[in-house]
Amino acid sequence: MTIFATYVKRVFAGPWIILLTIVVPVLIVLLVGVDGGAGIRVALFDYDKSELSRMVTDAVTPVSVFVDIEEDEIDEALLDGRVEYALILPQGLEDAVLRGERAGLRSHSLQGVEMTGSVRSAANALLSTAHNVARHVEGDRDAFRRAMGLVGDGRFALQTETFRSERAALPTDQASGVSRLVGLLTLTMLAMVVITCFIFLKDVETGTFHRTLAGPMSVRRYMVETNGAFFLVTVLQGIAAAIVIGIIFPQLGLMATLMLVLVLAVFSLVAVSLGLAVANIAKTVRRTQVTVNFLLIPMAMLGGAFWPVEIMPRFLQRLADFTPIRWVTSATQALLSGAELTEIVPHIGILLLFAVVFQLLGSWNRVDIAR
Amino acid sequence: MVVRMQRVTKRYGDVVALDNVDLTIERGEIVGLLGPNGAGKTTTISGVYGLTRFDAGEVTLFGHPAKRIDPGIKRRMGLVPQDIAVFDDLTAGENVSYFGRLYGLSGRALTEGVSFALEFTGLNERRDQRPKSFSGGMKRRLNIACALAHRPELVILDEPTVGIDPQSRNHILESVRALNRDGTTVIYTSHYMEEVEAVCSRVIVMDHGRVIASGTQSDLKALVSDEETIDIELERMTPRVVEAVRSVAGVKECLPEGTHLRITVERDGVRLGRVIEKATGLGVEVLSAQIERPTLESVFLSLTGRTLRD
Ligand SMILES: Nc1ncnc2c1ncn2[C@@H]1O[C@H](COP(=O)(O)OP(=O)(O)O)[C@@H](O)[C@H]1O
Ligand SMILES: [Mg+2]
Repeated sequence: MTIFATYVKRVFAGPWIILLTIVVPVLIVLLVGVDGGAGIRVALFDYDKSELSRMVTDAVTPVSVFVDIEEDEIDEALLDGRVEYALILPQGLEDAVLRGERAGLRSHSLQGVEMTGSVRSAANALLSTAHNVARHVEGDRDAFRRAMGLVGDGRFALQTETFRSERAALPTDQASGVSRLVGLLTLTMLAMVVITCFIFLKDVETGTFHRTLAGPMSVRRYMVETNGAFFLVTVLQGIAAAIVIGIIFPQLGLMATLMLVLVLAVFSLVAVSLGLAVANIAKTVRRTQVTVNFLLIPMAMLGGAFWPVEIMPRFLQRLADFTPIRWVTSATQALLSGAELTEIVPHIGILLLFAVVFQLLGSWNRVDIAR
Repeated sequence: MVVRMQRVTKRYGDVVALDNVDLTIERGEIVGLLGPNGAGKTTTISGVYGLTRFDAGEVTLFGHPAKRIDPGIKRRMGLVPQDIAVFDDLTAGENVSYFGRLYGLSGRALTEGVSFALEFTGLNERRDQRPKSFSGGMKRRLNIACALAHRPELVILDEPTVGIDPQSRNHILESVRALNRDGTTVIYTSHYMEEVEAVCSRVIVMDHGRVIASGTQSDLKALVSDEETIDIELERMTPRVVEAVRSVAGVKECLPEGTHLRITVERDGVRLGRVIEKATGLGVEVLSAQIERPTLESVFLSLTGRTLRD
């Protein structure tokens, strides 16, 4: 355990360690966590200006932060993230409902982003109630408004939760915050990996790597112990982050928090293996820096560490499937929307596959260095 | 026998780093491996340490074939690499302790071994400092200390004094002698012949991957010549003095040059005192006297036609 203990000590003795394991994650949690709880950014266009359209607006208000834009800006605003959901209440909505027509709302969101479900379901629930009421009042607008008024007073309960959101661990608005949080945390974990990479390469440069392997220890044992040390450090970081998230969002519950711990732990393994692979292939500190800039950071962008993968063009989304972060963020989204452990097993399996591939790249040729 | 190499050959592509090398090292020896850069010294000891695979030949260590060096045998050896290899983010003490543990020490044995190694290399006061703040000589000493905590029976030092101040160099040379006095077998690699002359009981001279000579220092010097030159400076030169010196048994030649007499004698055959007696007996005072013996440098020169620093 000599090498293991020494490496753990060295990682923790570094000046950057406090910054990376405590300061940055806490900052991220504070910034994104607060922002994420504020609600979904909704652009609402009420062209009907009726009693019904006002009620729809009221229904979505608790889960929304309204954003003021023009209708022709919708696509652009969705893409740049100013708006997450656009809801259009067309002129003649109330009339159409009264006539018994299945008038719908028009809504825009980025395909695949499921975090806006609470707005959608609140609006749809109100509308379907309106349809039911309309069937019974037979076109009597006053009766309709009276009945709907009772609904508004809470005399009739609204069925606002869909099946999926019923089992969701977090309200969708908070879930979006947490998921973004996890994406950013994977970044700090990758940064940790870069550090371990540098420590390892420094050992190659100072000759201590060769000197160690010249001793009475097998290459395999060395690899297991260094891997173990780097893994311990990274996994502690991941677990700490998951626990902090669990504390900030107690609604998440124990099960989802534990699953998050598991996902981040598996990602730690991937990250450490990736670090060793990069170190092994880049071979020098300088070339590792280049690799980090041109490989790791684009990979993190692609994988959804900075923004949801779903806002990217299709082909980039396909490409994102080849980055490990993608599977962390999607596993996180899944478990936040209430997925069972079995549902994230494929994600974990794929992450483990990444770890194996990176391990192979990381150990390839290493024995030769030792010679 | 601690080490035996038989007909060992090692090639790097077209370069023949070792060409049919034979050598043996007995328990308790300090063997100097002398040769210019590129002679194959590092390759030889890498082989002894089991770090290099050879293309041909056999190596045995403590009687075991080196192909199967088990950790137990490794722990009986300590290697001081040519290029300083210490962690600069660990203190001197932590460095020595790391390698001590790597070589199987723990608990009390570790504490004692670390203290011994630091004390031995004169770094005890610096044990809590990182090598970043160390001078070249101190780094070299730490490099050595890292190979000593586990008290190896065989210590291999690869050019341990390159690029350091004379004081540190003397400290290191003295340490090597002290190690040997305590019973440690030492292989000392260098291209400085003064160092090898100063510490080694036996010398193996290498060049171009071959062992070109080996033996005690006087064996080697005998290879070059069986003569020595004595140079004495006289108060004044007289023909009778020249005659008298010439008549001393073992003197082969005696040539006056101004007030100097250059006397060629059989190796170890003539005592300087006898020559001085002859001159002073004739009333001529001797101002200075010097014996010129062959050096390892001249051995190397005569064997290869080159100097060690070429
Ligand atoms: N890893 C290597 N690859 C190619 N050539 C090497 C390697 N190591 C040593 N050599 C060559 O082998 C010869 C002997 O080198 P070395 O044993 O380091 O000499 P010394 O230690 O006496 O200076 C030199 O010509 C050197 O260039
Ligand atoms: Mg060398």
